[in-house]
Amino acid sequence: MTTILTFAYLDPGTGSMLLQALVGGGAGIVVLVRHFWRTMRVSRKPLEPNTSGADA
Amino acid sequence: MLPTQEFAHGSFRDRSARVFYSDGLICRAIDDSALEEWTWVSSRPFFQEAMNAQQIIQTSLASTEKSVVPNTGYVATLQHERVPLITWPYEWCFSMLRDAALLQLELMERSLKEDCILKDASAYNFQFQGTQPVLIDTPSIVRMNPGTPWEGYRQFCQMFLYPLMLQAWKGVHFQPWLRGSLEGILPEQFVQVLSWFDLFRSGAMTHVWLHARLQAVTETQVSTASSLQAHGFNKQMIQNNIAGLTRVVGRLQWKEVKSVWSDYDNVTGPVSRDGHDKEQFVEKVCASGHWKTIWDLGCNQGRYSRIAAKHSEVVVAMDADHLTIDRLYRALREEKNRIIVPLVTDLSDPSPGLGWRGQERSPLEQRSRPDLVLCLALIHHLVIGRNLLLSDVIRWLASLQATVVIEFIDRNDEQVQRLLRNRTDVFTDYSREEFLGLIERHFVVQEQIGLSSGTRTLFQLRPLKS
Repeated sequence: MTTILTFAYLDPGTGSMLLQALVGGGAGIVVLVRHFWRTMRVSRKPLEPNTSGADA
Repeated sequence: MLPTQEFAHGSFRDRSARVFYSDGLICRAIDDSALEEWTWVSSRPFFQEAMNAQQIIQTSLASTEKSVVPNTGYVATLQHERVPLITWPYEWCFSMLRDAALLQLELMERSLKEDCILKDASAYNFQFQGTQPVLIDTPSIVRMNPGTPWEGYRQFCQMFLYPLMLQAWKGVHFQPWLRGSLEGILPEQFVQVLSWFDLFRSGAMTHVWLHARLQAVTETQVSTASSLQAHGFNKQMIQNNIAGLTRVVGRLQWKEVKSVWSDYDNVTGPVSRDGHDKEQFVEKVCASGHWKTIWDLGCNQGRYSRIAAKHSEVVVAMDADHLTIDRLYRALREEKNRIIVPLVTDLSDPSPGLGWRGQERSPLEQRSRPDLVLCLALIHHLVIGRNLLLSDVIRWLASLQATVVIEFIDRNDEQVQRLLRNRTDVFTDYSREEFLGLIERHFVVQEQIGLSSGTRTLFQLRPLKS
């Protein structure tokens, strides 16, 4: 839960949607784990240095 | 069917379907997308069954001509059956809010089986026909987008679940909270109200504590809905959630057993002695005509509302005591009463205009105008109990321009003496002489009778034209 908590943009529906996966049963927890895994991977990308030399 | 009138003030959030009034009809202008949804959803068996069972308001497509509402993007009009009285959730009692919540969940469960979903969960989507809750916002039922979560879940918690938990677990009346915020009670606010013990109650750990914790979750680069969809979120998970919520709501009971007014009709003294005479007087006045709307102010257990219901299309039974109204509602529900709508209403602090520009949720007087008002054993409470001026109370009753049945109770009556027992008597305006002078100024006295207690008098009044 640490990585996704670090961003500033507030989306009040996000937590409620995630909770629905949690209360949705065992398969929902698998969905939640996959989602968090992807979120962590995506969230790290902008932190990588720009090696191409091109302007963003 | 060209709506020359403006759209209803409270109908602006859903831009695809907006309510307007035309020639006394309740209509809803819908755009292309809403028309497509309506065509599909209204043909589903569950929708027709729910409409036949009066769980969904009777609705039909009035027109599909492109010119229905020129230059607005709306292409068709739905026509709804008129609900005799519009009420707001902060005027309902616990059992009314609970019944509406259970109907929302039932409709969700049944619609999901046919790949539909209620896209939101606003308590304002429901109205009461007597004691029967009914969904009035038919365009809120749409085809579901497979793999995405229920968008109305948070709203359901805020508008139904938390207010019900607040009442059932903490004994705190939910109406002031809903009146204070049209969005309901936020998870992060409600969790502050609960004790550690409460967190072990059914549904508290997930729907409240975890829900509040997760409100802090923020994301920038990933759409949560599409991510969950991509990773296998499915309809069964929504169905599991709905089943869980139904269990939680079903277990919520308000166990209050006594309030100041809950046993009023069972007491002895002038209240019981005069009861029979009052019933006869009320029956006689009510039977003298057919009334569209009767207000029973300070209705208590609905003794006179039931008489009024025999001669009226709708009876609005109002009382400030929540427990009394809850008991009345449950009794009327058992009787399958479709005429009387009980409301928690404090006449000294009635529902104001709320929401955007103070017009989104209108005051009661803009939603209902009575032909006949029953005001029995009430004004001494308003004047002595709530410090209202007797002249203001009478002027307000006259402003309703309705026939009034009113009971005046002398100062030496034991109930008035009870009210005065622990307070300084500053109520110099509360006297029979003052009362008679005021009603002569604003009404024509059609009939009056003294009750057997000797301290109480009933009047039938016709208002002077304003």
